[in-house]
Amino acid sequence: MENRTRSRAWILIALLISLSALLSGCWSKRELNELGVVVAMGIDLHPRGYKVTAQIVNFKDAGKHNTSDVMSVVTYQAAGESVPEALQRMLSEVPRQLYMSHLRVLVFGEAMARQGLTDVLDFVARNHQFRTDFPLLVAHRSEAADILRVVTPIESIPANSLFSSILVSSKKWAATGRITLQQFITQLDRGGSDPVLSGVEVVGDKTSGTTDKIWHTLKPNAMIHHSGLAIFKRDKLVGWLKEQGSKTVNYLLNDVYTTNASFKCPDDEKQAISMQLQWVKSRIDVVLKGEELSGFNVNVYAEANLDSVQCPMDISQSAAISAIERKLEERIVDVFDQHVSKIQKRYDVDIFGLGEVLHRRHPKVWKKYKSDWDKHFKEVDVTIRAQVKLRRVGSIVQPLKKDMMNR
Amino acid sequence: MNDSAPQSQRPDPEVPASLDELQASLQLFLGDSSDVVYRNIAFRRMPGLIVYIEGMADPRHVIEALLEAKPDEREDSPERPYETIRTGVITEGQVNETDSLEEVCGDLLGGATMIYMDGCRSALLVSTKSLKQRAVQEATSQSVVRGPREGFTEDLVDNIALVRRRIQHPSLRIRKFKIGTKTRTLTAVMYMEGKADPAVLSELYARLERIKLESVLESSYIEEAIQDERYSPFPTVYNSERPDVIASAVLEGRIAILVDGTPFVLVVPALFVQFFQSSEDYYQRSDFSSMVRLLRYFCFAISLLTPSVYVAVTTYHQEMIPPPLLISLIGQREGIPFPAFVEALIMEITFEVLREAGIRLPKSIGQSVSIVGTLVIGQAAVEAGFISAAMVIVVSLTAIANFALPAFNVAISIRMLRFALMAAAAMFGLFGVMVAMIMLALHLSSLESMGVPYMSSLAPFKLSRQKDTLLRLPRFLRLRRSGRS
Repeated sequence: MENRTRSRAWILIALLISLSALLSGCWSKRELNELGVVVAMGIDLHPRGYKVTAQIVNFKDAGKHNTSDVMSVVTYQAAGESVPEALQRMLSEVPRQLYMSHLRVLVFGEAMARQGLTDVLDFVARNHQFRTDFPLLVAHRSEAADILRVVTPIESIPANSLFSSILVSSKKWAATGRITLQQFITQLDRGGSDPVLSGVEVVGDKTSGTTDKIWHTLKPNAMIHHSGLAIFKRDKLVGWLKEQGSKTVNYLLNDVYTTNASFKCPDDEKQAISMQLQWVKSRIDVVLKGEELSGFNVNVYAEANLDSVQCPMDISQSAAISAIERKLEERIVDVFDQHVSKIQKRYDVDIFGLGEVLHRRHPKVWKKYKSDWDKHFKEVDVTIRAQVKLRRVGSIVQPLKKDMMNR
Repeated sequence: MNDSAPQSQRPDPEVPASLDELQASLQLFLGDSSDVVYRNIAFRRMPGLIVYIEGMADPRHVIEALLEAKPDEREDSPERPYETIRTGVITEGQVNETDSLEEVCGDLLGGATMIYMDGCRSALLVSTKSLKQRAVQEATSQSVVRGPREGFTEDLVDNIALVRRRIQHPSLRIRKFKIGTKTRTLTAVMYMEGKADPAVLSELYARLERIKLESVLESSYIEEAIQDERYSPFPTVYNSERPDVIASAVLEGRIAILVDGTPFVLVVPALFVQFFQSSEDYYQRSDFSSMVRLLRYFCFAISLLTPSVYVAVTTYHQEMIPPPLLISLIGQREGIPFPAFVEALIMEITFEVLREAGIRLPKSIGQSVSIVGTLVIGQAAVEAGFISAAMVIVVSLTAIANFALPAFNVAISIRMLRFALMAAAAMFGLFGVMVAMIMLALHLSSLESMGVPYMSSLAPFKLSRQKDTLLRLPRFLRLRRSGRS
């Protein structure tokens, strides 16, 4: 009898405990169709503080291929003293809760970037919904809102188009950066290097890019275009690098997967040899004079494949191969020298991370330079050496031009 | 027997000394059932009575032998007629003499024919059991591509012979019991002397003797009475209707329990991993069998987890879904009125209903049910926007994976647990699924089958016994081990 009451008591307790689970259950539940998935966000300056533009997927037929006349994304805009405030205000227009976890790109307007990014990045890094692996972009000569309002061909969601073109171009072209939130914040936190971000701009008519007419034309009026790297001093934009400068930075940061390099033929200044660089590795060494820093040695090693040869030289000779290799080495050293010294002179920002190298190799020496590294960076001696190995000449050996002339 | 107190309305349990008295007491004992045949005969001018039950017994040869027996010139002693009948008249079948009326009735009900000569104080019982039997046919519940086709029948004697045929060894032992106070079902325990664990054997005997059931109509009655854990969704007794499976289990040292009247034979102890083994694993090449076996464990996971993980991820952890997939999923869910959990519940219940309906209906209609089910539920529901297409994929994937499991009873337990997991997922997301899985693992590890840990050779882990657990290693690798030890 007593046994039964006791077991009954246990059952009651177990029931109560399991019922209490219902109290907290479904706490953070959100159904898929309650979400407004923000795929791209743009932040600009505004008299009140910030102006936030969000590109939200319009799910009418986003799952399918875009055949109907419904746009697959919509942009909303709101302003506020801070980014979260602006996002809250945006909810008065958006019918769904904003969901940030699938943000593909975060774009800053140029004016905003010149003023500094830390205040905004604090929110982005603090909010748990944001991932840390999306690329940050700076709108070149425009507002971030303009970038987000361009309809892109091929990819129906513009944010996806931006994201995948960054991936592809940084992998195959090396003149853009793929700097994520995580990398940017890490670089801000530690001394001895300054960050770069990839730039984008709208080429063409900004206003006509916003309709789906773009899908009915062979030559869109407006396109998003990657435009080199933006140089930051701490969190403030200070300048832009063009194609060659961006490549140089990426070489030194070891961010080059494949790229293309070309130079003039040895005996014909109008023609060029073009190579594909494949395995590119750069190594920065510190040169010390006693306890003093005297300079940096940069060794670039690259393996190249011949892409096209427009001059009539005899490739079958090993001398020709090594001539090409030397020529490319010269070219690399030239370009690097030119851009490194330009960056040193014009902007006193160490986007190559030389200070960071010094810090890692010789922490004691670094302490002496730490406080005014920008000044030292301006004057430090950087020596570039390059070593190129030509691995493959392609499916044919001799240049077609040579064959044709010998006929 | 005789000294047990006579119960009310029961005749004296002794065979009476006169023919009329015997018939009267039998009629009282067996009721006036119309299938009990009383037939008066004369054997060598002595009046006698033959009693049998129609359908159960085939007394033709007994009657013929008695009637055709010519009077013997040398001996015509009415003093010892049974001796004569037993030794010189009855041509086939076992013959018993008894004076207990209870035994007479028991054997009559079991298909014996009773011969009684007037004036004797006992009766002869000839075993003439002849039931209409189903022939040995192909096992339908566990069919194989390669391997023996025959399955057990409903007859215990045939079933024992089917196993005996495969193990022609003197140490195969069989012990019979009668279980069920009303049905008195013949049950046989079969094992290999020297291989079966004596502790498990005596535990089994103790449990069988403890059974207090009125009826045993199928081996599941026994299974329910001897299983270790009553309140567990997982079976701790294995069953099969394939003689080769039972033979291999007995050869491995396990104990088979055969029940008269059902082709399903029980095996104890049953371990978790055994429910993932199919007899065909041993008939196909080991590399293929190992792959298929891993596939079954994979199917176990899919069948158990897919709906709950889908519900958890789509309602709590959208950040885990790759963006293109998420966009496609949201596109599908657009306009669906139910939360994902309710959607999953509707689909799962619909599927279970279809499945149940398909089993019960005649084969020809069963097919149309499945067509209606797939078309109406699968397509129309999606097109009408009640259910998202992804959910249909999830549910059908779950169902198909469930069918891939070789043991029906484990498949059932997964079907039930799936709903609990879905509820946990709907309330707590992946966290709930994780907690439920931990509870499941704890429960499985706490189970025992006849005192043997249910998860054994996985937990407690034994490396030497992994050769036939997740994988099925070739025989030469496994034989080397048994040769050494």
